[in-house]
Amino acid sequence: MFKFGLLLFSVLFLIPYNIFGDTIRGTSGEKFEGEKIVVVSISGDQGEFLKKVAKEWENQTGATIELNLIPFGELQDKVSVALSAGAYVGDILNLPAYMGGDLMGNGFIEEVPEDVKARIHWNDILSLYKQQTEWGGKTYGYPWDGDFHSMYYRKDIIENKKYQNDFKKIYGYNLSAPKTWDEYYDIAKFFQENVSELKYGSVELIMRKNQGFHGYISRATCYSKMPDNPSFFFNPDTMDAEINNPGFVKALEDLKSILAYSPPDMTNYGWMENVQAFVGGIAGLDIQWADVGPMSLNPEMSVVKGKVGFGMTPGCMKTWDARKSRWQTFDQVNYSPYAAFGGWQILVAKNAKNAKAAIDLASFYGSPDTLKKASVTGGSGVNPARFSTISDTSVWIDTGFSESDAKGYLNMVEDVLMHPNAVFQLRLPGYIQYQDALELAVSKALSGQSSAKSALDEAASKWNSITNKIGKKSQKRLYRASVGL
Amino acid sequence: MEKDILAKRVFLFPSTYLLLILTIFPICFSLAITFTNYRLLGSNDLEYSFNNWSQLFSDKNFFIVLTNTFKFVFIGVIFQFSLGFAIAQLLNSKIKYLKFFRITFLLPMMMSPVAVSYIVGKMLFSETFGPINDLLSFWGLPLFNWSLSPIKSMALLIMIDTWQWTPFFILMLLAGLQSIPEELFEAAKIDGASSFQIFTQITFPLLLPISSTVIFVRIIESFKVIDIVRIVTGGGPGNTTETVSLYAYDIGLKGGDIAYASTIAYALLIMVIVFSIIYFVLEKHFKKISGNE
Repeated sequence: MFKFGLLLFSVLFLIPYNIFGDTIRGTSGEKFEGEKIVVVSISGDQGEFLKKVAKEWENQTGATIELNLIPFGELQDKVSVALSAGAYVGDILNLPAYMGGDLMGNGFIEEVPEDVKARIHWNDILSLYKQQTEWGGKTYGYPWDGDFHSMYYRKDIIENKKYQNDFKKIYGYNLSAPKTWDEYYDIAKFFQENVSELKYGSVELIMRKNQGFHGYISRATCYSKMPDNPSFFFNPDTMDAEINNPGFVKALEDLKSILAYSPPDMTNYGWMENVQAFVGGIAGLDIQWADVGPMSLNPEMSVVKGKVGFGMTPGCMKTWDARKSRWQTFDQVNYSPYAAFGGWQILVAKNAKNAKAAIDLASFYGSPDTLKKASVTGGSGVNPARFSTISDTSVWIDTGFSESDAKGYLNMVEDVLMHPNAVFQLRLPGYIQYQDALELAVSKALSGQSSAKSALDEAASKWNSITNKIGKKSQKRLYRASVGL
Repeated sequence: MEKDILAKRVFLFPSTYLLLILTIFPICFSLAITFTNYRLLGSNDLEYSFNNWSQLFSDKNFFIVLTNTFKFVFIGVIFQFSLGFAIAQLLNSKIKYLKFFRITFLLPMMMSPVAVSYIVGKMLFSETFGPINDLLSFWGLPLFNWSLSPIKSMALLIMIDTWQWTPFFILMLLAGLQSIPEELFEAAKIDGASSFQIFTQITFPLLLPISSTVIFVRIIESFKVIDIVRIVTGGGPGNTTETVSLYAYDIGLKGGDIAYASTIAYALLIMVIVFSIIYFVLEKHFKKISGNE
């Protein structure tokens, strides 16, 4: 009887615990009683979420989590200065992927052990985001946030019969979600001039030192990224900057033309102002991160719940082929979505005081269950990075999406993240210097201080000098590796 | 006697030590860095050269941000001094609710520059959501759309800085005004001096020493401006409102090129020292002429 009882206990409790308990949470099951893990992240909801979501891990292991939250504007500086000086800043670092070049490439981060990869179902991670966890063929990052830019539009207006008729009369084709940047321009113009519910046509991110790089690159990808050429930002053979080629110039000219159908101070919009303009019902089109989906459901800030359509950023009918120095035209739209910012990732510092416990907590964060929960929680700052997150519609419906909206949103996420011509966030050492030089050029062109061409020529020259200063040979090697060459 | 000298040395040691560690060492260290290729999170193989200094002289952007900084500093301080002087004069007279006005005028100075930048730059003057443009539109006046205009963007930054720092001038000049003996004004009035003559012959010359000190302190402070520029314009449009400190901060702490950022910071320090010497020489000369020495 006792043996039967033991067997029953094993079948009902112990075996499922060992199979599912640990693997679901991604942890080793070890106890770290009394140990303290310091997690470095950004101030606000996003950072605080890292403590809230890991309550279960604290209870299970007996360890405690202490947050070291730093405002976004100072996060990179403080972590860089501390690590450069060999100082301890925390055990787990929750940092933007663009810092990968500086951190992973210079030995500041602990590698992800192979057994942990197996435990947290590594193959469930979307291929685009596997890239962000790797450097030089080794894996350093645990999956967390899968960031990318996509398009949001007012579905209620685009599906309105009256507006559809008016649009066709003026532009000669049917009103639908824009597929190309030319259509995007027409629809933005139509929204602003003909739709009484809206004040402006489009809102995008173009502020210098405040996501402007990503806003512009989202427009430049389809004009400069050939489907059969993995490189985009640089010529992979010479390491010369490509950012002044005709494709980039065309994208900047397009961006300038949309200003007439955007809020007048859009050049000074940060991330939140951009979201507010769209979910506040002021603008009809938006290029943004996937947070707009869940935020459009928040009644405290949104007047567009259920009125939002989701799609990939528009594509182009012609693309500049940098290898052949000529435009290539397409019969079908050439889409090239952009993994803007590259997301936030979980890293274990090389000088962590509790490396073993830190790895255990990092694997908890990167596990499928935690990421599913994080992706549907507003304010967590986490966008989907795993197949299991985008294949489960039910968790999205639970957050307030209608079934069709949830499907539309997740289809868009899948389209972007699985796209073969997607461009990933630049991750080279000195990234911020490259970013600032390009943002300066964009800002100069948009304010009319320079033409698009001369502003980008200046930026390309600056990029080349940054490359030379950091080391052309090493930058070339790293860039080639980052695009799979 | 020897015991006294030893005691003096012992007592002086902590402050000398702190001065060396906290002031002299960072200055020397950052100067040394300007001759290296040191990067944050970079490799430790340092090379020594004059490359950063030669890069500085060929860096067009540095001269643009330097010009912007001078515009911001001098136009801003002139406005702050003029307004501060006028308000201090008003507050020194016998007006109703004097205490209320004195406290109210000092409030902006007590606020964080970041909060001021958000309240004034991002909220009041927001071109889409801000009440200023709503009011202008209501009165049928042209809108203040500043974000794509270099002149208006700089004007907005100066306006914000003036709003925040005029109280500093008010505070100091009011103290100066209250220290002038009342008899001087009474005597001048008995002699038939006009208000203008009283101002130019008594008030202004007597406030000159304190004015020059306050102006100097504000100029030095303004050269280091970074917060309001970063929040309100981000240095744009283009780099027409970017200042030297913001430029160095971004290159050093964001871009990781600490060596070049230190070179920029040193260039600014040298310029401020040269400016200070010229300022003190002129001040001495001016005081001599006005008989205030």
